[in-house]
Amino acid sequence: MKKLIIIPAYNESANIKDTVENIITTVPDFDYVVINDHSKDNTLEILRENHFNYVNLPVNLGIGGAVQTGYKYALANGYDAAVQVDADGQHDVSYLENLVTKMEKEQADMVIGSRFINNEGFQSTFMRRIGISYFTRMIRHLTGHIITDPTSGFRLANRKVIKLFAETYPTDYPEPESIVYLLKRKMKVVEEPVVMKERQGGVSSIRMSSSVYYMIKVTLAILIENIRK
Amino acid sequence: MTLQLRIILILLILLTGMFVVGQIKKRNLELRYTLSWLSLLIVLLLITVFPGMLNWITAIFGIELPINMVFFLGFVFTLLIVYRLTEAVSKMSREITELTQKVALLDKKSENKDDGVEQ
Repeated sequence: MKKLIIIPAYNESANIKDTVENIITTVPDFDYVVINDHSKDNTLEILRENHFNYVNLPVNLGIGGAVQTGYKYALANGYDAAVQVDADGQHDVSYLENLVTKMEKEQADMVIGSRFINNEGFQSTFMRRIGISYFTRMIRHLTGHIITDPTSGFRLANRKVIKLFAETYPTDYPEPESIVYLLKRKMKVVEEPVVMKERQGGVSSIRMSSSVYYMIKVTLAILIENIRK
Repeated sequence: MTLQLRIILILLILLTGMFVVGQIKKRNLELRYTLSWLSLLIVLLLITVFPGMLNWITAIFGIELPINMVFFLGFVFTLLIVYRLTEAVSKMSREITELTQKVALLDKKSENKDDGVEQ
């Protein structure tokens, strides 16, 4: 099985080297590709100097467009599974084998690494947990499926989902919306407990000032995704 | 509408029309996105030149002053124009994303081919 790790990177010069080197040593059976989302810092130079495998976006697309580039790369290069791992080091790649095993065992189309099954490790801030459980309840209400960690970016997708995401993927704050997109298409989405770390550096794509906008935007996106055919 | 107001309006409309056409001539504006501007100007010009028409529409809408009908029509057309722009921007952002991804992946491919050669 050909497996790919997609690492979206925007201004990640502080973490990218450690993250990629850790991936190469910890999970050698996975290929990886860094998607440099037109970083303003010297992320690109670091990628080049270290001869890492990367795709360089000539224009900043935001997290959705960057991750989608990874899925397009996975599709074009014949990968059977692709997983998103954040460049800031919060996703622990030693859990990847568990995700793969879970996918094979459950015949799942996507496996989400969830912080909130065993409630271990970094549990995010209080306000964020409220937001996350709100989306969990919303998705459950609309689709009947329980997704404990709908904002997790640590997700393993099979070939079918890679293809769907390569065609259509939301632009910003894509995770909850894309879960509903998959569930509406009868994809099997399951979760596997993981432990996440606090980000090692850099800044989150969701800042406090934009959190109200985030909640409203994602709520609308989920509602519209739900009535889309 | 007083004659004074009508003359001012007609002058304003003609000036705006000349400006828009001039910009199209210079290729600063794309004709397909300015059609809604031009139709707005033509409608405003018609009702200002022939106020009888305006009085008639105003009566149908139950609006008291004809000038308010002019404002209302201007507002409706402006909304149409803004909608057209939002639509165009959405389409373009989708296309730019698509193109950016394609360029990046092609770039990657060609780099792989002549391995070792920096882009």
